[in-house]
Amino acid sequence: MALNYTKISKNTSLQNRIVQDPSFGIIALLLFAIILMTILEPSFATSGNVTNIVNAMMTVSFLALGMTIVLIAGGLDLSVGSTMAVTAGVAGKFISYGIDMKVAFICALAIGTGIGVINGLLVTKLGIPDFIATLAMLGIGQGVILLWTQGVPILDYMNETYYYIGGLKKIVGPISIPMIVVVVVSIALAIILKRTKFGLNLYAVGSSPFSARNSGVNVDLIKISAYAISGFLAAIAGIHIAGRTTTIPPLIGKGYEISAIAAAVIGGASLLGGKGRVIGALIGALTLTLTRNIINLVGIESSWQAIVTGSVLVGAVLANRASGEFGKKLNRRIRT
Amino acid sequence: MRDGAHAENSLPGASSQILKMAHISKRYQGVQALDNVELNLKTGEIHALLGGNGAGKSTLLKILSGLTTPDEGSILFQGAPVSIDTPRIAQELGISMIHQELSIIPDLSILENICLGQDSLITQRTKWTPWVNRREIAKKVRSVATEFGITEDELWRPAGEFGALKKRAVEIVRSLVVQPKILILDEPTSGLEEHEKELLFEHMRSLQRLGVALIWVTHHLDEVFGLADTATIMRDGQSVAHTQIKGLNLNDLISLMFGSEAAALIEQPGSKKKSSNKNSNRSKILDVVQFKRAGILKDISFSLAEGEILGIAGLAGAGRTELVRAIMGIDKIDSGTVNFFGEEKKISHPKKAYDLGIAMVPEDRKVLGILSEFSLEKSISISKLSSIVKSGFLNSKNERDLASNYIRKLSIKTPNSGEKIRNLSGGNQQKVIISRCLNTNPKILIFDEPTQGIDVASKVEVHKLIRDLAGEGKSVIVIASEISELIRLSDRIIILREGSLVGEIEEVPEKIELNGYENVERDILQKISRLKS
Repeated sequence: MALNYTKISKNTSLQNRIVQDPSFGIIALLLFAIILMTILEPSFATSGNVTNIVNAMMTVSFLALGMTIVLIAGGLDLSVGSTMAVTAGVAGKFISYGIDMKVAFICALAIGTGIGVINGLLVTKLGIPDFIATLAMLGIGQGVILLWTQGVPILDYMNETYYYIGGLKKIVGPISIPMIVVVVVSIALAIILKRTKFGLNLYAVGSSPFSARNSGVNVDLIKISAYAISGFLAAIAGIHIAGRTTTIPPLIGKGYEISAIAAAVIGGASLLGGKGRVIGALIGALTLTLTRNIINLVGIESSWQAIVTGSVLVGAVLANRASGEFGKKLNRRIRT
Repeated sequence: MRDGAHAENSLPGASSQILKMAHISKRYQGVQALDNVELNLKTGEIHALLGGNGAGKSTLLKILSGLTTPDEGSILFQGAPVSIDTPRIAQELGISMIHQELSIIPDLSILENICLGQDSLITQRTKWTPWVNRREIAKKVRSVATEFGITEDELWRPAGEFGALKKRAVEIVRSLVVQPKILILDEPTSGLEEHEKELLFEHMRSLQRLGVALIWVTHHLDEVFGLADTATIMRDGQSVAHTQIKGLNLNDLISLMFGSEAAALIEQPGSKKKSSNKNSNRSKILDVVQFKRAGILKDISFSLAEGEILGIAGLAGAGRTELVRAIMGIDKIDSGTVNFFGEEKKISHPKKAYDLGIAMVPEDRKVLGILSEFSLEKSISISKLSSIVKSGFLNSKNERDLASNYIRKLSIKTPNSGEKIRNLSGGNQQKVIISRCLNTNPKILIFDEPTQGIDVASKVEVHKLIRDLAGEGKSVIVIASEISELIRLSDRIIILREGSLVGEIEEVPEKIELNGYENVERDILQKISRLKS
């Protein structure tokens, strides 16, 4: 893991460690954009807009974190958006049926995790390529929720607690429940990735499944677990977005799989596996959310939005690579 | 010298007998890979497992290390029957393996590679602890790692940054730190320098003294003597002999492995190659002028004559591979020119090198050379598709004819020309790659470690092929870590050290005749490794 390298080389100063960080370029870009917008656009740095950005970022963050885990393990999960929609539907519908909120949430989480496990089983035990297996799951999930709701948005589930869960009401100052959950999940995942056998095995499996197997790693189990985590986090995203939007249109998850992949990749994850980190996923989620927000505020025509977002993705990945090269060069100079 | 009966006599559970594999058979898609194979192993012995490519050694080892299961047969481990269904079971029994192909994960640090999957190393208190404490592990592995030249600092760096040499050391350390009962070494010396081999052998001996049983697979039969105690020899999926090494010589082993006819063909190390023609009056074909690349190549110039075999000697990291890669246009250089038939050429891309008539057989065949999913015929035609074009389209009949031609010429062993290249043995894969190069009709052929990981018999064939090519007037550049191989092949040898050209030995065959093989070898070894003073 490259991140350990930067962490542990004690002989490099903090300053060098910052510029050597693989996300240095993209962070610099983000700061630049934020400063520029604060100066140029009075409605940007308002509390209402910041709340908007943060809240929208939470949804993408959950999905991007899950996607990062799957990408590290050398997989790909296209079903996250649809899983999010299904679990949002489960949470909303169950509550509107009068079922206890906790039970509804537990059901949603179990279903999300279950979808992840099925993805994992399809990929490992049946040997279906990850792209195909999870694409199929995306379609199935979307179909299920359309059939279930008959295309009618789900309403009548919002209550006082759900406003807090959706982040529409804050608990203290600007702090909302989704923010706390993102922080807790991120810390947990970071510890898992950096300090546990499972984390080490994830990187190993994604980097070289054959070598990992030779080393005695249960490759299938690790992959299935990665998809299960992704499904679980998609369910958390589902519970959250239901509260954020207060109604659940059946196609609520559409396109989120792309955002999740984009955020993870911006954060340094590789589609070839074996690379990725928690902080990267969060930075990626922020990049995407901020881009969308800026486009809206500046009033760029909606047809341009996709083009701008696409360009940002390419730019971010290039910035990523450039900072990696820059760090390496700098490092070499320090060493010699 | 079959001693199946002898093995039967030793009591099961007798302390000396650690492993007994009996009547092991395995079929792969209709091919009998193993047929009634026996293997007996005592604690504290070094047991050589010998046989040509395709003899079934790898399959047997896969069974022992839990990567595959046998169709028939039994395995007794310390007297008790076991079934080794997964690598984990093998590991728990105390069977570890160093694979021939490097099984290093480039994105993980060296430390992480060492502890990956090694629960006994990670675990401090209970078996199920999920935590990995890297600093703890570093403390545990530090001393072994240092012995194999891995510094404290290097433990934390990604393994991908290092060369094959360091990666091999990592694998060795990985298998040593868990204190195995049986250690399988599959071609452990491949890619190692002479002094590192000695170091490895020392470690094998000390493991032996600790009571570890070693199963050792090697193609370098001369290494076996003085180190291995016993050997199992395999041929065509059968174990044809179980023998003591003491009292045997190289020829005995070769005849056991390949039959007595083959033994006669195989040259001994140091034997004189047939004297080639004088090079002095031949026309120069290639001139490399002042190649420079920061930190890697330091002002290297040399030339190559028509029909000449030029050897490049040097330690790993001396810049041998980098030099030929620069000639091929694979790596960019900072400055330097190439004159081809006296005319300055810019080779900015391997395609240009091929167009000029320079072809290369790369090292590390599995990674750089073969397109493993391609059929043999496609693998041959790929570098020059124009050779099989008929009225504007690729013609599969032409392709097949082309392949059959080379299969005949180089006597490639394959069921048919449509066989996937990954199903061929190492020696035959190498011949396919050579065919691919020959098909571009090159004037210069570059061989980087042409006999890496192929058996003695195939090695002889490759050597003969290289000489024949030179005899036809093609110029050849050979890189080989094994000095004896280089000396036997080359007309002239240039020596690299730390990116500089530090010596040249002309008229190698004549020098051998005049001064004796040992003197030539010593001369080269000195120049290769002389330390900076």
